[in-house]
Amino acid sequence: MGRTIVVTCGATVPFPKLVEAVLALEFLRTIQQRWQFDRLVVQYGKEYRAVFESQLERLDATASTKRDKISKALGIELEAYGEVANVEICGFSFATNIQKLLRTHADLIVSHAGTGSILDALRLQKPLVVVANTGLMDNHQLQIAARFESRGHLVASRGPTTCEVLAAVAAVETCCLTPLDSGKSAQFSNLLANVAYS
Amino acid sequence: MDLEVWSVVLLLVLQWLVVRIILVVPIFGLQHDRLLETASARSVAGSRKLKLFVFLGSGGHTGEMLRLLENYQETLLRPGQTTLTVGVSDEASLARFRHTLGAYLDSQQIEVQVCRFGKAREVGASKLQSAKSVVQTLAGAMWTLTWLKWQFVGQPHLVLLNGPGTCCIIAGWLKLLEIVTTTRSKIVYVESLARTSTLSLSGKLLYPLVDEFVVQWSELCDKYGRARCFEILV
Repeated sequence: MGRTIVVTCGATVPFPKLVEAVLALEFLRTIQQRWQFDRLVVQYGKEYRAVFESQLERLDATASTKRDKISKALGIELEAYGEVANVEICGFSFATNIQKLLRTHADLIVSHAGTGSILDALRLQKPLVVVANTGLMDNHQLQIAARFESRGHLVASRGPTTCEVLAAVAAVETCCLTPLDSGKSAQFSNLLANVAYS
Repeated sequence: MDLEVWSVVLLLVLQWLVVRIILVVPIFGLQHDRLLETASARSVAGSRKLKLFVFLGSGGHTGEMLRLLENYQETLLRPGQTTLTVGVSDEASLARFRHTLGAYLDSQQIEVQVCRFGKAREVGASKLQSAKSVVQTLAGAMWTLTWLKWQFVGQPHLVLLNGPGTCCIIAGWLKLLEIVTTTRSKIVYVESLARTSTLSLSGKLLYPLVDEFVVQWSELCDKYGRARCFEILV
C-alpha cells in the first residue's frame, strides 16, 4: 500500500532549502525503497511556483495528465505534478483547508518549525519531522523545535540538507513519538470563568 | 489663597490617582487569589451574558488566538450567552477567523462584532507618514476601546490578548480607563507558544499591567513570579 509524505513550508516565507532537500533524487529513492512512500505533497508557500516547476523539470519528472485527478483525490488545487523514481510529486503554494489534507492523507509530515504547523501536525497525532528555517529574522524555530523534541513529540532535523532530513525521517520511522496533550486545561478554564464573572 | 485651594485640590487628585494605581495595577499584589478553584461564580453566571473581546494580530498570533477560542469554547463561547467582539488589524486574520469559527458561532447564536484597528506602521512608509498613521491609529483605537469599555460596564466581561504590538495600546488604554473610572478591566494575557525562555516585548510591557499573565512553558513561570503556567493551551 502506498504512503504519503506531506511537506509544509509555512504560508508566507518560502523555505527553498527544505524544498531542495526533499526534491533530491536520493531523497525520493530512499523514501520509496526503504519506507514505501510513493507520494510526496509539497506546500511550498507563496511565489515559489516557478522555482518548484523548474526543479521538477530538472529532475526529468514525467509530465502526466493525472494532475486533475489527484487534485480531486487530495481535495487541493495542485499547481505542479510529476513522477520521479516511482514517487508522485504534488506541489501547491497554499491552501486554507490544509488540515483536511493532513488528516486524511498524510502518513508522515515534514514541516518547517513554525508553531502553527507543529501544532497542526501534533493535534492530528501524525508522525512529525521538523526542519528549522534559520534564514528568518528574529525567529524561535530552533528553540521551539528543540523544546518539542526533548518532550518526544517530534524529531528535529539537524539541518535542512537531504541527508539530515532523511536521518530524521529514519528516526521517526523507527521510534515511537509521545502524543501531545489536548491543550485543554480545567484550571485555565476556571481562571477565565472566574476573571470574567467575578 | 486661590493658589492654595488649587494646590490642595491637585494634591488630593494626585493622591487619589496613586491609590487607584496601587489598587488597580496587579504588580502591586493587592488582588485576591482564588481564581483556580472551580467557579462558584459560574453557576450564578448561568443566565448572565458574557461580553468577550479578543484581538487578532496576524500570522502566528492569530493562529494561537483561534486555537484558544476553540479549546475554551465551553467557557468563552457559550451558546446564545456570549457577545464576541473581535479586534483585527488585517483582513487575512479576519478571513481565517471566519473560516475557523464562523460556522460554529452562527450555529450557536453567538453575536459577533468586528472592530478594525489600524496598523501602527506600514512597511516602507516615510517618517511623516508613519507619525501620522501612528497618531491616527492611536486615536482610533482609544475611541473604539472607550466605546467597548462602555459596553462592558456592569456586565460579565473578559479581554483576552496575546502577543501582537497593538495589544499594548489596548491593555494600556483599558487600564488607564480602569484607574480613572473605577471600573474593572479583566485582561488575561497569554504569551505566545514560540516564547520558550524569554518574554516577547509585548509580554514584558504587559507583565506588570494585565490582570492575569499566562505563559505556556514552565521555565518562564520560574522566572516570572506572577506568571501562571498551565502547559500548552493552544
